[in-house]
Amino acid sequence: MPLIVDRGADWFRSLGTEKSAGTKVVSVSGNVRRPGNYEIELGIPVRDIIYGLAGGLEPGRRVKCFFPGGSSAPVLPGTDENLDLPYDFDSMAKAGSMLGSGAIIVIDDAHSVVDVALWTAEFYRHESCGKCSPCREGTNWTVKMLDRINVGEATPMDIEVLAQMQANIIGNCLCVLGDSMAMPLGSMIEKFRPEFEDHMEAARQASEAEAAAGDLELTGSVEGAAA
Amino acid sequence: MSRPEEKFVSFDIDGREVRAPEGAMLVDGAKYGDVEIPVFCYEPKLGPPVGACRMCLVEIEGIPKLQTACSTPVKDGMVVITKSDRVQSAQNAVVEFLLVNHPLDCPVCDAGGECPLQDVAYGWGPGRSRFIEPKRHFKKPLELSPTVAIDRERCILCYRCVRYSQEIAEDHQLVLLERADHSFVGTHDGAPYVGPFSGNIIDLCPVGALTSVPYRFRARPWDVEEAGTVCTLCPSQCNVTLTVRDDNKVLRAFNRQNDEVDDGWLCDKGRFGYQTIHAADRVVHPMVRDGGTLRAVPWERALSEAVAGLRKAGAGTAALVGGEATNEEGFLLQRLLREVLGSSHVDSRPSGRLEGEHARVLARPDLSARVSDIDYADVVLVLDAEPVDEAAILDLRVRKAARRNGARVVVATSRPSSLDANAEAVVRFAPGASEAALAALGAALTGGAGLDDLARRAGAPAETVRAAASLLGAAESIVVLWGERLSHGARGPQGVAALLALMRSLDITGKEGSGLIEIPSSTNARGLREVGCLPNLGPGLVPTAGEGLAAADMPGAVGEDISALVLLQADPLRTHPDRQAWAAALDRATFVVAFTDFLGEGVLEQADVVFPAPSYAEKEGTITHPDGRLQRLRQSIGLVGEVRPQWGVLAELAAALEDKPVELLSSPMATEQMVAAVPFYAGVTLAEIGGRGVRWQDRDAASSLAAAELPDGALESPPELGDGLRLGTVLSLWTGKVTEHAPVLSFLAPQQRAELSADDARRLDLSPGDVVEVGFDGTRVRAVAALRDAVPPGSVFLVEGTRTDNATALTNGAPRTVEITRVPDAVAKGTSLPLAADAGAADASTSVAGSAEAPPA
Ligand code: SF4
Ligand code: SF4
Ligand code: FES
Repeated sequence: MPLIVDRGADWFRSLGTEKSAGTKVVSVSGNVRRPGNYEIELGIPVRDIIYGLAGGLEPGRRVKCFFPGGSSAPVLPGTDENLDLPYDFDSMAKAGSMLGSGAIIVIDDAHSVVDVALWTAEFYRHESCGKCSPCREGTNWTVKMLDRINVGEATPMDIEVLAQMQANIIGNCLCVLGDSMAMPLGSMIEKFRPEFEDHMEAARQASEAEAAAGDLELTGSVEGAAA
Repeated sequence: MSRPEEKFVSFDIDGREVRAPEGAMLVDGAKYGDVEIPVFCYEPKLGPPVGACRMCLVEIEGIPKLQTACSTPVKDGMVVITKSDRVQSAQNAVVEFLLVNHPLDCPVCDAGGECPLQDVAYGWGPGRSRFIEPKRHFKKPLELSPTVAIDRERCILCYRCVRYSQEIAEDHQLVLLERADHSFVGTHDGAPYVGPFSGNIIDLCPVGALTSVPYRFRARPWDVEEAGTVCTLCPSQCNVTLTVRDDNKVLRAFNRQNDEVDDGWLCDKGRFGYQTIHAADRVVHPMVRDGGTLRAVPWERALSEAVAGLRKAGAGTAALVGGEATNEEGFLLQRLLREVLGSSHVDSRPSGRLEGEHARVLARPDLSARVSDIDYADVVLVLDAEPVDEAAILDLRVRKAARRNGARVVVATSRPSSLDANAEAVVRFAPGASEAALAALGAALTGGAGLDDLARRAGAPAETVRAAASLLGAAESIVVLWGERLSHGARGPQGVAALLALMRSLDITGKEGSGLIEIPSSTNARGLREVGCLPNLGPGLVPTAGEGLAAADMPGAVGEDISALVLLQADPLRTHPDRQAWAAALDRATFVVAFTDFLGEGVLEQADVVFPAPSYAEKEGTITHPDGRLQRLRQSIGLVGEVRPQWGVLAELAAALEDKPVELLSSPMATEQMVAAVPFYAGVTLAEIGGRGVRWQDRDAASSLAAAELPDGALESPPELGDGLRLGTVLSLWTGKVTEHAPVLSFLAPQQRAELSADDARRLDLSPGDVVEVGFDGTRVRAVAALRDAVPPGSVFLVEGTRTDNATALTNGAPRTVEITRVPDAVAKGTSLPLAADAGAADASTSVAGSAEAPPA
């Protein structure tokens, strides 16, 4: 502020890009080594923020995806192409997300996208005021489906239903809270569908194995009793 | 605010050009083009839309996102699409979301077959659900109150019931608790949702989440038929639909919206009071007194005994007509008295005498407002009446006017009113001093000469009178709801004169959308007055040759001029002042004929002949609303037991007394004769009245009422107030047969309460809940002391019409001062009153006002 007063609006406008002039305070969180708030000149590459200012990821980790503007922004996968995007309003919108609040959340490859989806959905289910149907029921249903994927009781069709449900929420709510869950969730399913499917399949096999083990145990105990 | 003019605009919907009123929401506008847009939360009766359920999404050209048709007003040239794939998929989506947590237990749900959720799911839903997760669970059905059950699993959280409680009934009891998908409807502290209008939420709920306790599991829609008629349990005369099974049993009553009458609401008395129709102790046979007790007899015997008794009494017969009588019944009864028996002693008012000139002036079309004028009035003046207790549905109307259209409410009453909280000015005058209060208001409007003296005589602070007068004086339109009570008693005529003088100073006849609406003391009081049930006025408010005795003068004349009494659905021991005088009169009368549906103590002990009275569900005929609207009662069920049509019995009695054959053969013939006798009803037909009613003031025949101008003579000086504790008596929505014979309402039966100020209680060393005796000399009534801060010191209020300890024992039409003494605990235990220390818990109709006040000190 004092700088703007001191040097004038033109100076401020000379920073940043043509359409996203000036600077912005971004808040970087998630799997970075130096999370915090940084004032950046709009238009610098995302990579510079995550790897420069925020200190990069733990050794050996890659960016799996990041929320460019708060947890309600569609995620962008951590491809070189995306990391090289200039961090400004236009570029984020063109990439299919948004700069929003400027809260960059970085997820590394140690995390399952299904877990990220679940955390996000749980947060929005909790925040939903419950007044309009798509948001109230959609956030709740989404959480329940993700839970089901996690315990191995889902089929590939469920992922399709989950994706369609996000589309059914977007644009149909009374306020933007429903969209705030559905946009990132939708993007996660769209961009990481194979991972969803793998996760689901793994969970299903694990639960089958567990069930089998349970059966064995049961048989064992029956035998034991007979002995 | 003045009544808005309707302007039409055109817009395009699904490729069709449609004209609809400007400002209408798209959902309603679409109907002009026969396009139905599904809704759940939208209900115009509830006020501005909330756009919560998202069921009504449509596409509007030029707007990228889908819009809610319930909250988007139509605009000229708008292009709307309701049938695109995009809209359809949004509709599918919303139905699917709504069904996520809905149990789909239609086969055991009361709403099944008449459920908007079913209809919308079939019409606009995807047809199948993809939700296989566990649904949310609540304890199944719980009593939200003794009358309404709640099944929270079925609730689709549309907010209708909550908005109703907050913004229509303004009882602020229902809320949405918690948030997100665990939201649920409840009350703040889990207390039952009890209020005079609570049952409306049953009609509002678009699913089976809120159901009627007495109707639950009684029938399915295909087992029943619906019959439209009018509730006759109070002067509001709400239009109702009765659900009838097997042509002979009323199972339910719900609203039949008529915006000129009820706005689509019912009170709980009207909604659940139908249970009295099938009460086990209802009188359904004619009876005669035989060896001291009443015994059921064949009609012929009862009729011949009645004929003999009346023939003997002849001109010495007097009749009281109760408010549940129809215009036809009242007309036939007064004709029986006047033309057959030669007596003019017939009265439909409980007390006082209405002067002929006053009656005609009060009926002037330009002096009367219609109910819907309340909606748009600048100022609504509530005068010596408590709408919620006396004409319940008008209470909601006044609240609506204030909340939605910014009407300023002025309350001028003795007893604190439940509308005080909505009022911009309150004049609280001493019980019985309405005449002085009106004169004081008049003085304040015309320069203020004598105001202080008049205000003192009214027992009201002069500055409150001034504040009220300045609101009235500045108003462009005024609707006055005035209680018939102010015309009662010995100084009734002076009270009416003061009212008319005030109307003159306000120039009310010159103001658009302004006028009076009388809140009469009983349902059809207006109609009965107009068809000739007054001792001084025949049909059409025309003076009669000889004047009969008014109700108040009848008891004194029994044994002299009067020997026989006819009670047409009237019970003077309940509703008329001076209970002892009436009890003695019934005892002294040589012959008493009563038409009644229940045996009150007077009838039980004194009637010689009892004719069973049909309930409103069994009647065919007309009644007249306080605003002049003739309404039709339609017979909805077969006559119960041995009941016969009352018009027919009256016609038969008249014919037998004259030794003529019965000429009146049908109810429409009775209507025709009644209409022909009242010049300003001339030409009204049953077809014209139809299901919506017709105000006679709006018809050409109205000009045949020869009424004088508003009088401009000087007013008499009202009497000084006496010293001592002044007794005011009030009506309660819950006295009478509904709480005594409709089981589901019995929990609301009022016990006698003496409402007094904390000051007086302290002075008299009384605490809330004390059993007290209120009275004078030897006459006393027992009551439970209730402290109410808003009661001005010097006044005490009792309820009229209670089953025991009726306040009418203490009234005789003149202002009365009383003493209050506490009944020692030991003695109190043996009384009829429960010794509950809950006198602070007001009965339901007053709890709204009561709870707004600070707890008694
Ligand atoms: S109980 Fe009925 S009216 Fe109330 S919110 Fe639920 S569905 Fe709506
Ligand atoms: S307000 Fe009066 S007329 Fe209306 S439902 Fe209640 S009792 Fe009946
Ligand atoms: S009807 Fe329009 S949002 Fe509910």
